[in-house]
Amino acid sequence: MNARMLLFFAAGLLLLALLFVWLRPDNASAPTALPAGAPAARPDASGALDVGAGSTDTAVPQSADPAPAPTAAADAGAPTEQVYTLSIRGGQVEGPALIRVPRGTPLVLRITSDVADELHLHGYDLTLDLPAGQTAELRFNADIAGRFEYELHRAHAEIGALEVLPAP
Amino acid sequence: MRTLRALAAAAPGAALFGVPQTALAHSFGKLYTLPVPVWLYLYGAAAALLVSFLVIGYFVGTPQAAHRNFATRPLPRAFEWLAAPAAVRVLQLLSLALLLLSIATGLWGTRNPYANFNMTFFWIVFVLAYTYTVALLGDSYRVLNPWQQLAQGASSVSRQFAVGRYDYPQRFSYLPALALYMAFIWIELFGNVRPLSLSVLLLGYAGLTLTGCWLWGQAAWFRYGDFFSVFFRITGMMSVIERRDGRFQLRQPFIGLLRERCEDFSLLLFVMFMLSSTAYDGMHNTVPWVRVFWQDLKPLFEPIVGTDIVRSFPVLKQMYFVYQSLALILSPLLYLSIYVAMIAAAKAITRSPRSLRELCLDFGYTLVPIALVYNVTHYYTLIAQQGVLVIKLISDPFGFGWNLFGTAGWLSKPPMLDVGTIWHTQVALILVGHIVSVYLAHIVALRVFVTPRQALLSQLPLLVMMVAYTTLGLWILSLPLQAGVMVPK
Repeated sequence: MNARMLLFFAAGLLLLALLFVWLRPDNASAPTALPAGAPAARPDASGALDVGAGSTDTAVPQSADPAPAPTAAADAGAPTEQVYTLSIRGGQVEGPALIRVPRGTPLVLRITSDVADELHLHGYDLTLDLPAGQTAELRFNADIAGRFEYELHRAHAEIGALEVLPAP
Repeated sequence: MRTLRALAAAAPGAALFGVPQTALAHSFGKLYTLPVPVWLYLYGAAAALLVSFLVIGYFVGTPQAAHRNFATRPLPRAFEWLAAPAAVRVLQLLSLALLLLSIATGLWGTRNPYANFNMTFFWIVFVLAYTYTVALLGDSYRVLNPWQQLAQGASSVSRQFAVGRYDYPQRFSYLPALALYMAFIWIELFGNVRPLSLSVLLLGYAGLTLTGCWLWGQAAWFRYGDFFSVFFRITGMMSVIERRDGRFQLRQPFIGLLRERCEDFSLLLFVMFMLSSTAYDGMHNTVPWVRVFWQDLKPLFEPIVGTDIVRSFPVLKQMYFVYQSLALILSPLLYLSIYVAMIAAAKAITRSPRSLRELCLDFGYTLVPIALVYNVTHYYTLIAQQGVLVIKLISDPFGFGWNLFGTAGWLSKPPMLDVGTIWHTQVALILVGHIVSVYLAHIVALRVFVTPRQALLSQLPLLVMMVAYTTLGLWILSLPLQAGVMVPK
């Protein structure tokens, strides 16, 4: 590598670094992150085509589950547990197709299926047995950031995705 | 909107069980990457533009800088044992054994794609990781191609498989390889391949290889027909190692792309498809893309299929599939049209007497680095997350509960990279590919156009093109992804 090339290399790196610092938002790691504990809104972008929730209200998560969530009220600093309800009836999914939360959120997926199946959440590699007609709960901390699809094993169907955004 | 909503409630079965799994981003292995944040995308685009001028500036005044970079330096003799006939034979047998093992595990092993050796080995280790090895170290596929070994085996039975029955029709050029490559990507994205069907495909490809060799001979088939050979040959041109004068030689990365010239328009299309197939894969599952069909195009079909979404849904579903497939097949034309337009502009600016076709071929290989970085940014996380599991699967390739090498219990939790790290790596990689392409294109320009001034002028349209490709690549990475099965509501 000759001197001229080295010079251009250094200039390029400097330029890229300056541009990076200039464009980087203060809260760079989580430009789209939601305030912790706030209910995750369904992103507008996918709203139009989300998998078939019968009506919008079933798709919006109950922020803090009122009854069985003692952790929710513990203190203001702790992230609130978020509950999402999915129900599968006649091969039809009701509930959010996209769950978006900041990292560290305690999550509860509450699922009812009319036929026995098994839910699998990729990445976290969690499975949940779904006995026919009963409600099952998957409780975990969303502490790995990324996009993870959840599927029904027996129906071979991806029914939605969990997006965990890097925490601010 | 109301009618769309009604569907979800009124079309039982359609939502879950009727829809083909077109939502997959890759035929096997789950990507967990989040869309790149907008500011980072903007940064990448702006940086690409800025750095382009810096690259061009590097050449101003010293066009001879271009020729300095072709030197090679031999690797120590210690590496030569790799080229020894015995070592090559062992590697060839290993390659053939892995193909046969992949076929066997699919035929007789578990049907669970994650527990069967062949899915992880073929889709992640061979199609992705091996490609990156070739890009780094050179086209070892030329000697290791397992299908070629099958053909050689067949030719010891009948000479026909070596020399072929007919002369290869030269006017087809690389079209057979291009067609097979398209079919391959289509199967990868839409084929819903399982361990058993993968084995059938691998067997089918063996049959196709033998047929091709029987018809036109091995030389022609592995040059024009076998898309893996064409793909790895082009990819290997980027490597830092080459074989020359009977020695392994170290060379500047990517420089091999300038040693050869894209020899035919069909090969240029092949390069365009290398770019566009990855871009399409990134695109076809994003919210804006899915919307184009279900919101913008659907009303156009309503006169034919009717407005009753419940009744028309099965038809629309088929049309959606056609829409996705057509877009994949036609995608290289988008890249090609930008390319030809910009080359034409360069020709006009420089008043070059070279024909447009010749100029298009001259610059063809300069796009290969962009194609490589598109591919790496999209898929490299799969290697870390799923590809490494091959260590575990090799101990129990059929999923029978074996533990041949004692590794079956390893890696119960594969490593997962931090999303922030992934974003920055993706943008950095795309930028590097862009810089390399601009750099290569300038060297080609210095060769093709008579004066350095002409070469410099010709770079303006080419820069527009490369910035467009890079920005497109980054933009796709930043798009929100469609979730769930694709049913309008």
